[in-house]
Amino acid sequence: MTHSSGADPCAVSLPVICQSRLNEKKFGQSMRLQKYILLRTIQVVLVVFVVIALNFVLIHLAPGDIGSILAGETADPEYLATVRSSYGLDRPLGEQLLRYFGRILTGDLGQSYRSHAPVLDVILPRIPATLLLVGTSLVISVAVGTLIGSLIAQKPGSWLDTTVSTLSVALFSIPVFWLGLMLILVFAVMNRWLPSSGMTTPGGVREGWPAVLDVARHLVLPAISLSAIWIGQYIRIAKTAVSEALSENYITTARAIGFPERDIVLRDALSNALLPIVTVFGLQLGLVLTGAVLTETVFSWPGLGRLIYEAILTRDTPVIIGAFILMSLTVGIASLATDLLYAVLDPRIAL
Amino acid sequence: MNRGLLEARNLRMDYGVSGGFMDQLLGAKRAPLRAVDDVSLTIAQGETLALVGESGSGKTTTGRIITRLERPTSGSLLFEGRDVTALSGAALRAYRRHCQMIFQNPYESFDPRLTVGTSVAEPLRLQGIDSSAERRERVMAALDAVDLRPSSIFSNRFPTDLSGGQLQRVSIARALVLEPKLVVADEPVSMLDVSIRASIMTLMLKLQERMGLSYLYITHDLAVARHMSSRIAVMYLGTIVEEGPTDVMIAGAAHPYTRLLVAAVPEYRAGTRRSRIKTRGEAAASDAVIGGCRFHPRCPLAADICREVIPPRVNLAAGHFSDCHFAETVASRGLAVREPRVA
Amino acid sequence: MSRSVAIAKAVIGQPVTLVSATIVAVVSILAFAVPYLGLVDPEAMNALPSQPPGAAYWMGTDNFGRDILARIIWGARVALIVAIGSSALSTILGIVVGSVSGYYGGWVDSVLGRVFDIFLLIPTFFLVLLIVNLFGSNLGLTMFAIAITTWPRSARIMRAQVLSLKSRTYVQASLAAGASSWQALVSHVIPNGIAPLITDGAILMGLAILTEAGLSFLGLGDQNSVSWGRMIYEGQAYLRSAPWISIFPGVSLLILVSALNLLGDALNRALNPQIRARQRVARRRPPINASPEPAPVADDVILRVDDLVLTYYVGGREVRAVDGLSFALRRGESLGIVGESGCGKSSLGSALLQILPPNAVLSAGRIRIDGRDVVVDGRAVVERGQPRFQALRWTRVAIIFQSAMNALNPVFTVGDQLVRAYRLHRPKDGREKARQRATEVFEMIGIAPNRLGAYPHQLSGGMRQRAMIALSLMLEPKLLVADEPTTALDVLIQDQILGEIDALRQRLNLTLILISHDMGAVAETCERIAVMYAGKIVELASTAAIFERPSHPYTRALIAASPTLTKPRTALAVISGEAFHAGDVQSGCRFAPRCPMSQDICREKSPELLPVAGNQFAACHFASAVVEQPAGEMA
Ligand SMILES: Nc1ncnc2c1ncn2[C@@H]1O[C@H](COP(=O)(O)OP(=O)(O)O)[C@@H](O)[C@H]1O
Ligand code: SF4
Ligand code: SF4
Ligand SMILES: [Mg+2]
Repeated sequence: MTHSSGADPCAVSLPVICQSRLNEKKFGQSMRLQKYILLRTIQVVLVVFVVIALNFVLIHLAPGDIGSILAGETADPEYLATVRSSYGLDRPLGEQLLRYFGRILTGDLGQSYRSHAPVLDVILPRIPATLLLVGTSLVISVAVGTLIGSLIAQKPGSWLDTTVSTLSVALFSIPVFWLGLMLILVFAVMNRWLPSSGMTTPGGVREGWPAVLDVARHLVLPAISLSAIWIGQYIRIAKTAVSEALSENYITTARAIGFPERDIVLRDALSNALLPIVTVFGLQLGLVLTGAVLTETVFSWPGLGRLIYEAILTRDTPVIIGAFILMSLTVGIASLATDLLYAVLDPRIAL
Repeated sequence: MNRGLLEARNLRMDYGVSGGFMDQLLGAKRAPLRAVDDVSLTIAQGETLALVGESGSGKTTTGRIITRLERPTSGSLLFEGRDVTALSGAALRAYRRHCQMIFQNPYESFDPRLTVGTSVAEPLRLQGIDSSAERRERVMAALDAVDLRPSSIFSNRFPTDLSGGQLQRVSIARALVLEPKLVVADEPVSMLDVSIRASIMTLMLKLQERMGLSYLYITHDLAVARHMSSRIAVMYLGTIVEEGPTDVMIAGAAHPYTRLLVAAVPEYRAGTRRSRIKTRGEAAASDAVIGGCRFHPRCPLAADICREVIPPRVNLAAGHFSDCHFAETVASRGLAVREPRVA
Repeated sequence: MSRSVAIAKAVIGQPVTLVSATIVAVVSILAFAVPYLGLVDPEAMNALPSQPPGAAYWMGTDNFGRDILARIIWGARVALIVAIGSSALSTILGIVVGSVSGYYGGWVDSVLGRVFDIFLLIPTFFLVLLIVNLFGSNLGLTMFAIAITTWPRSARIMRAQVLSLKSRTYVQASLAAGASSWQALVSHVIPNGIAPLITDGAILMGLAILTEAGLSFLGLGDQNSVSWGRMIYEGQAYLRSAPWISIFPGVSLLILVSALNLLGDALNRALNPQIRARQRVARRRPPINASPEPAPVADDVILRVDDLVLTYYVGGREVRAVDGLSFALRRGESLGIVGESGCGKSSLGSALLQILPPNAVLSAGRIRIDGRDVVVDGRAVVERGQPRFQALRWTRVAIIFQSAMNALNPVFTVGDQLVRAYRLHRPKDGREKARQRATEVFEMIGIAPNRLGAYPHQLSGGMRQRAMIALSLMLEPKLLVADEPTTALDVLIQDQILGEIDALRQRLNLTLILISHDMGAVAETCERIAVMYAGKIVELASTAAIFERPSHPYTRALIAASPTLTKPRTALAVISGEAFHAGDVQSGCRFAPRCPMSQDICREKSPELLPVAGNQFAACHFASAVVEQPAGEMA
């Protein structure tokens, strides 16, 4: 579950793992939505707590002095001392953990030792760029993948199905960073059609439509590499979900009534197939961010991913940890939002 | 009446009392579902008691309690006078030697990786019969007894190679290989084809006679119950509402629900068309909490008293009781308010 | 065993899978043999740097002058070690924790379930990043870090498996036989539940390889081993001048990971027959153009079926589920079709409504409705570019399915579905009129019209079935096919719904075909009965004749074998043998192996459906002798 271009938890025809998740969601009338939201919110909070605790444990287990991990190996003794006292490193472990929680919950993620700026201030400006890239890619991949998947679901076993299915497996088996490099090779190096790095042309226009167009041109290649992989995923998921829906009895009813096949696929089948698609979507948000790190690295896209890469190069541990916590929170909230969407789509969930 | 082989007293089974971890965290408790509510019954040596009711009425749960696959929330279970309600470990294993179960779905009753012979031998192995020669001999005898011949060939087959009827025979063999005294049979023919059912029922009757078995025969089909049993108990929403000798239950039941069940069995009747009695609504688990008689929302005879007062147990004859305010009237006149056939 | 055969077939049967399996096998062999192959040292810098692929260096050399081919082969070793190590670790951990969680349930399961959920939400790649960043990078740690993040996935799969398996009857049977829960878990649940984990193992391997590559690409790979990811990492600086340095390792990753994923897919398909079953599509027979025909005579016959044959294609085999079936139906009549499961009743229904599943075709036969051909020679009759039957759908002919089986769409309200059907066929009538009609049919069937706004799941079983009936009546059809309309319902509701169908039929003068496995239900609702066996009608007669003077040994046996409330409680007649399965080969009369009266001729010559007396037809060489025997007795 760690790599964007890896197989997703539902790679194989929505196997048990997703089925079980779907069943959990079919709590039907037995649980009210408000209560469910409350439970899920608690879960998100729990996730963040676990992540923070994991960080704490890892830092303590890591070889080397905790102070210099947090302050940086080359920190001057004075700064090292302030870090030590502010984290309470001479206190018992329990108290350290509490302090650690306390600091993070008040938004104090420490200082980047590279820039000496508060980590939060380093991270926040990077978020819009990542959102732009990830959002665009998700929209493209869900839309295109669902469309193609629904199409081939109608002709199971045909050569078209076999070809597209095999290609979709190949798509999500591509290492996303390598796909990025190859796109750069073809579209930026061999042909100078598109820019290969950054989000804006240095020294270019900063306002109005030309600026938007400039960002869009920079967005093309990273968005293609990130979404290509996910298109592969959604083709498979949509195909399985739609063909599963198409084998249900209500489809036979619709055929007996005489609805045209197009209506049957797009209305009767897809309306039901959206449920598993949304579920998988919620489950994969974490993976999409992984892909974003690698893609941003390749294209020097000035987002969170790129920041993390830079932090790794300079061993800026506080920034890595801060980004990790923020990402976990984001994924948690996004998956909560997906669940709400699911509740809207499925009337069996009582509002 | 002499002491039963098995006596169940006031069995009660609640499901889902404790919610999940999160629920507990929030202090939320799911309402318990009372699957079985104050069920008492006795099964004598060599007899068959049929347990009849709609799906969800608690028949299977009662059967599972009696085989001690489930431990009742409260109530007690006596087998040959010994309390088996709370057995565990070796004592429970010993009880299983006397009480076995046949399940509804023959296609799911066998581990697909094992040959039929291995599955039938499993109870022997678990009960400590270590000599493989003895196990083999007893497995062959059991397969032979259920007419799967030649038994040596059948014992090497895999479940997927057998038909539903054959698998149900193997189920019977597995249940009988330990020579139990009581067998709980949970709808053993409902998943089988009509043409196969009779042979399984006949086989069960033949084996009962030969081995002196007692059956608790669970079914939703009164016609099957009539054929298999000497007594019938009718369950509705977790409780037994009427129990009596089979012929009385079919011809002169004293509870409106039993009467309705009898009337609803579709059957060819020469020349005449039977009139259908209109009932309202359907049984819902939530009905289990309504006041008065649980059947009143659907009962054609329901009166004010039924909505307020829980009906008493009315004994009409030895071994025949009905939980209905109007038991005597129903016993003598049936559902007097017959409505003519719809339209 | 059948499962391994299925796997073997799946691997060999499909070219894509065969290629994938070969790739995985070759890479594995290379990876483990590489130290003994005597290849060039992958670190040796003995060639010119950045040479393009050529005869000496097939894949060229990198910026240090190292042979890329040798490095690729050594890289395969790293990829596989990581893949196998981490997926094995993850799977084993997953099996243990998942089994415990699923089997013991209760608070153990709640707590572990939360842990899995939380791991599902953590962007785990960052966790791996952090671990490797803090602890330094070496292969062992990488494997461990990957496994830490993937085991909850294996555990979830195992838990779901255990949850579904532990209520399986064979586990219950084992417990009832005296097994402890521990024994049942180890001897039945885990061995049967492990398959999807093994399948998933292939996919986990792909996942691990890509994760390791991603780490290496970020510079967090093991510095002492040759990994494909690290090769790309080192090559990206030379993308412009020596692109082959990064192309080849990427292609290798793509090929190996694709192969693993495809193999995992194929294994999953092999172990999951439902997915396989969906794969086959029968070749549709071309439609036939309407030939000029005499104007339909306004006779009494609403439906005539002649020599209908319906064939399923099942894994290369042809199964004739309906095999030369003929009957006719007068207006306003009710015909019951009874038979055991699999005898072809439902297939007949789907043929009548032209809703065959994708793997089925009508291979012969003729269907006329209202005196006009809609199917000739098994092919749909087309008039002005439209199948003729299309115009009859729902307006003349409708079908009622068993509503318990999702016959109504769960995500739309019942009212929506009724209105939509109406508007499809009467687009000019407007929404208001459609709604009025929906209210009307709801009242007709005895549901309060305010339930039109309900979703199917909000209705009780009986109500849902009534809603299905209401849907079928929306456009006032004349011919109604009801396929097991009450099968999953409770006895009392079943009785009422049959009563309602019967009442509606008389009131609306419908022609009814009631398909059921229950002789009693059909007897009470239908005037005539067709008894089916093995795809054929074996007896067709009035209800009274069927029960009082059956003329086919099968009919006779079925009646004698069914317990009732009214017959004397004598022993039931037992029908020997096993039910016939469509696809079994059997010349002559298909009932012969089970028939107490069969003679030599029965095994040689297939009996035809011929009149026995008046309107009674039977397909038996000895029908006239059978009909003479007193009812209720078998030969
Ligand atoms: N979609 C299908 N694909 C392959 N075989 C099928 C399919 N549907 C039914 N069959 C087979 O056709 C035969 C008749 O089935 P069916 O018409 O459903 O019978 P019934 O309704 O009488 O139970 C059975 O052997 C069944 O296994
Ligand atoms: S007590 Fe009343 S409601 Fe209950 S069954 Fe008897 S008559 Fe019906
Ligand atoms: S034709 Fe022969 S085998 Fe077939 S039903 Fe008649 S008597 Fe029996
Ligand atoms: Mg059917």
